Amino acid sequence: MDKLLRSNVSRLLKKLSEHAEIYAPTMEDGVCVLSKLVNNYDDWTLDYVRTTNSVKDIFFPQNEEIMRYKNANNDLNIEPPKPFKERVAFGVRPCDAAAMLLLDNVFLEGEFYDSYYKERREKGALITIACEKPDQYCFCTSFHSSPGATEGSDIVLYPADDYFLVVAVTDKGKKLIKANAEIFENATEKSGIVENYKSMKTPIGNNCSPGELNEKLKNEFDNPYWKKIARRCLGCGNCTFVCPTCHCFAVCDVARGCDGKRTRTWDSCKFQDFFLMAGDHNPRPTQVERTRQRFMHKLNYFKEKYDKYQCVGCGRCVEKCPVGVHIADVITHMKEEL
Amino acid sequence: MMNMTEKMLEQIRDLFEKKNIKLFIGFEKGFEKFSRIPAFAENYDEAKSMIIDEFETPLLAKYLIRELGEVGAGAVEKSERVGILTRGCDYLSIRRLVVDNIILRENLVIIGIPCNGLIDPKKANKLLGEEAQEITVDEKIVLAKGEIKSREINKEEILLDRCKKCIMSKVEESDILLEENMDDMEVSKDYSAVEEIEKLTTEERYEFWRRQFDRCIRCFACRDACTACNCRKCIFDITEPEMLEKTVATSEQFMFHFIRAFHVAGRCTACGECEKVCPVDIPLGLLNGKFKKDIELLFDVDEAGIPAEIEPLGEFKLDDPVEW
Ligand code: SF4
Ligand code: SF4
Ligand code: SF4
Ligand code: SF4
Repeated sequence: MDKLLRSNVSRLLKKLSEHAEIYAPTMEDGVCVLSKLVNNYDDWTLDYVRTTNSVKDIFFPQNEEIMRYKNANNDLNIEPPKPFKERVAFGVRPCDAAAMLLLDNVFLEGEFYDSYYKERREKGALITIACEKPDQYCFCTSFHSSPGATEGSDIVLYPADDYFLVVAVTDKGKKLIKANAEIFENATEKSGIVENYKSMKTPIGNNCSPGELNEKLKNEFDNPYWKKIARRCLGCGNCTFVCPTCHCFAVCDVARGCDGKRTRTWDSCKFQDFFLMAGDHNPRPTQVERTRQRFMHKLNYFKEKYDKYQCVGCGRCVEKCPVGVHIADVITHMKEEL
Repeated sequence: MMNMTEKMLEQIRDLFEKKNIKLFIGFEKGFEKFSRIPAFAENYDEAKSMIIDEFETPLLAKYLIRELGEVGAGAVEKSERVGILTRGCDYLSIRRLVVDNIILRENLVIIGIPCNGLIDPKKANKLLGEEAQEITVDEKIVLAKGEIKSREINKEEILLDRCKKCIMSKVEESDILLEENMDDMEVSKDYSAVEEIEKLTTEERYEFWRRQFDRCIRCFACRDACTACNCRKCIFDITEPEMLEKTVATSEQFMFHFIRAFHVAGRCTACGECEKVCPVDIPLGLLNGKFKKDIELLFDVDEAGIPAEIEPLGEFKLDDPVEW
């Protein structure tokens, strides 16, 4: 096993930056965001439980240009986006890394794949840092994961005194370590550090594990509980924007005359116009239908389709919802009721 | 002696029994230990889980638009009334809706409670250095107990940000007052944070706001939580013509934030809810505060934003010193 001295992290990031964009948790006016480092490779921080934005930002950004077009004298000219750069996300949490696997299901599986996402994923690596101190919002353990889990990561770093124990998970991770071997050291210690992280329990623990809830939810389309929680919801959608697994988007053109660009931006089932159709019909006219959609998608439809729940227990929506709409609450309530 | 929660429940039962209300809006416990969340009761039984204590709560007034307002109609009389638990800040927000002709005061039954500031449990956790398992409040002293440590904290230190700037801790027009209003909380007008920004050069100021706005994810939670944001159809939701591109470019971010701030200027009650709900901690209070400060200075009013029939930016004078 290798180890990486904390004092060597900046060096590693700088070295990686020679051929890749580097993203790492940084403090910005007291808020910890996963942001792109440019010449400031010392700015990464360990002082966070979860970054405000999730790692999905790097592979499925809030907005992206998918093409530019020009139509001069009926001569249509379409310009695809420039090839993406290699990218390394450093300091990702295990829950976020696991969430990337769920996005892979959506964007890469089956006959059609999302070329933009695919290219970014192929050119991206995830260096995860195991969680030393999960907080009251974390419940990854309810989703068969843990503060030390490796699923979805290329490399996982396990914090110990003044270094990290390094576990290479994928071939990509192994190559990355090999290419930068001079920055890593041999770890001789044979302690149970990694196992400790893997068996660590979050404060909510695994009490909110949905189990077979998806089966039971099938018949609960009209459950009055949706109305009860929806009454509280402001419809701000911030639960879906901060979620590493939410992936709905809209495509829109920004054009002046016949010249313009086509962009893709995040959208949210919580917004009142998300489902508005031509002719002004809205099949989800109130917050009740929208709230039900969010939870049914996560706890039923997604599971039916991909055999996984669409939540990794990162706790962001829970921390950020201004009025306490809580997915673990929904799970526990439904488990008790059904 | 009955505590405040019991007194409230008694009143609620009475209101439902006399068929005075069809709905009561208050608070109940959330999933986490100290989270208090909005609760809606259509009968006394549903209200039994409601609670009054000193932990952070969201404002309730905004829900009145959905429960009582008629989209596009202005305020209309309803046959059934809605009861609502109200502190000073909520009261200002309710008045905002009444003054703006969104709802009618007659449609409401206001249960007023005195308030001398709410506690932010996150701040308590921070001071304690771990997650508090128990928090008890005795006047101005708070005792926070965790699994390992326990600590006495001055309530001042862990007050909710918005309570530190409270301009109205009384409910002036309640239908039912659960306990006598206390003396107003001591708050001195504090524009020091705004002044800090004013001192910056134009370039520095631009850089500061660019950094803040670029973080914005445009969830519009700030708008959704704000009672001054009560337009029938928000300009940002209009797609034809598209007032705001969906792309999150810096220019668009500035556009959104300027317009939001301008639209609530003079009507913002300084409740602080927008800043509180922002998932990326953008200091919207600074922008709102700047407007408030300027209006107070330019129009010579004590407190800009207190809802009134005639407001500085809502009044037209024939002898206005400045031309339109
Ligand atoms: S639903 Fe909430 S807890 Fe689950 S992954 Fe999304 S943000 Fe995290
Ligand atoms: S964050 Fe909360 S209030 Fe906002 S849309 Fe999500 S559930 Fe509703
Ligand atoms: S702008 Fe912010 S502080 Fe002002 S009334 Fe709206 S939510 Fe409250
Ligand atoms: S709440 Fe914050 S992130 Fe959301 S739109 Fe308002 S300022 Fe932007």
